[in-house]
Amino acid sequence: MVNETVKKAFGLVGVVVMFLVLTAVALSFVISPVYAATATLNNPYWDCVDSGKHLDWDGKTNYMPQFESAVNTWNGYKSGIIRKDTVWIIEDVKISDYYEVSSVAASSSSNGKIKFNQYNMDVNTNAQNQKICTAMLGSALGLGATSVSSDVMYTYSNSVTSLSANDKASYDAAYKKY
Amino acid sequence: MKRVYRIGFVLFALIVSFSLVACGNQKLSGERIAEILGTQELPYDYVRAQYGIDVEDLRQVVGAADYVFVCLIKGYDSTIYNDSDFPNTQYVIEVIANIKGELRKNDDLILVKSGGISTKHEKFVLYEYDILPKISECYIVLAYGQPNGDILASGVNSNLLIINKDNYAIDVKYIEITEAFRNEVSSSRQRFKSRYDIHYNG
Repeated sequence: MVNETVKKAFGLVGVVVMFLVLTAVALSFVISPVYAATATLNNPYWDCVDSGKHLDWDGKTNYMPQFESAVNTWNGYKSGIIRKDTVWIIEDVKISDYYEVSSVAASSSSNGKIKFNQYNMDVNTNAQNQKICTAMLGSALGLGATSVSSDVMYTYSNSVTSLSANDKASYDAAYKKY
Repeated sequence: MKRVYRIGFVLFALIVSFSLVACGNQKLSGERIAEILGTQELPYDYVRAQYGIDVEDLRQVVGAADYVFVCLIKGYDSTIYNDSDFPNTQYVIEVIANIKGELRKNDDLILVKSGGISTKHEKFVLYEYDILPKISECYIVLAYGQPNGDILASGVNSNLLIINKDNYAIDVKYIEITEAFRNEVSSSRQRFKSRYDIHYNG
């Protein structure tokens, strides 16, 4: 008699525990994404960030409003990393414009030069140019190009201007290398 | 006497220092650069680019280019550097067949290729995933006419190696490019004629 009561009690507890576990598992799928974000870094790795973990920029471009928005995008995720150069600080990257008839819209190199090709930039929308500025700064921060069109680090020109989960994961991974 | 020795030692040290600096900055000859272009004999410094088109879609690359042609890379002319020290290699080429546009054939032309040997000759600087043409090889080049009349090949898929040099028409890359040309995705943009174009008026 006592044994049956104990069995019933444990059975009831078991059903309740099972219900709670299943509910928790179901909720975890709803709350957190099913996929994991992928980090992509420059390969072979390089960045232009200085030993103080700053990327100080200098120079001029015709696309300054879009460039400043790009700076705000990255600093919105990790504040204070990208800064405008001052007389007291040595620049890490220099921005400039050039003109060349080609499919290249902009480039970013390990010697700290970010160049915007007026031939392509002048016919782009502001959103496209902001995306290009964001991607070029991303390269200087150590992030690699991706083949995912929703990433700001996607190789080709589109109008994506906000950081995806992949972009953030890449920045997190690069930051550990600074 | 001691003073003479001291001055002599200082002079000797200066000469040795200058010699070392001079040796450290020794540039490669044009012949040597021609030999190593497109090889792995120097390390590569890859420059990241953002493209206005999808450069992996050959229909778009052909559509954006002004000139698409098969050519023999005959030699190395020189390297020019822009204000950010990015090299542009000037190759001597001979056009074998025009696919898009009409460049002069049976003549030595200069092809400007983005990328090349660095200012100090210690590495190659090139757009990521791009390749530098090798001398004596055959390539399909997808190039842009420049305002000054130059022809420029720049970035990914701007030169594709023809493996079957003796019969380029059956080479897989030639077949791919001619197919892409038939279905080209043309982009409306300002275009310039090359000085090597048979219809060039100056």
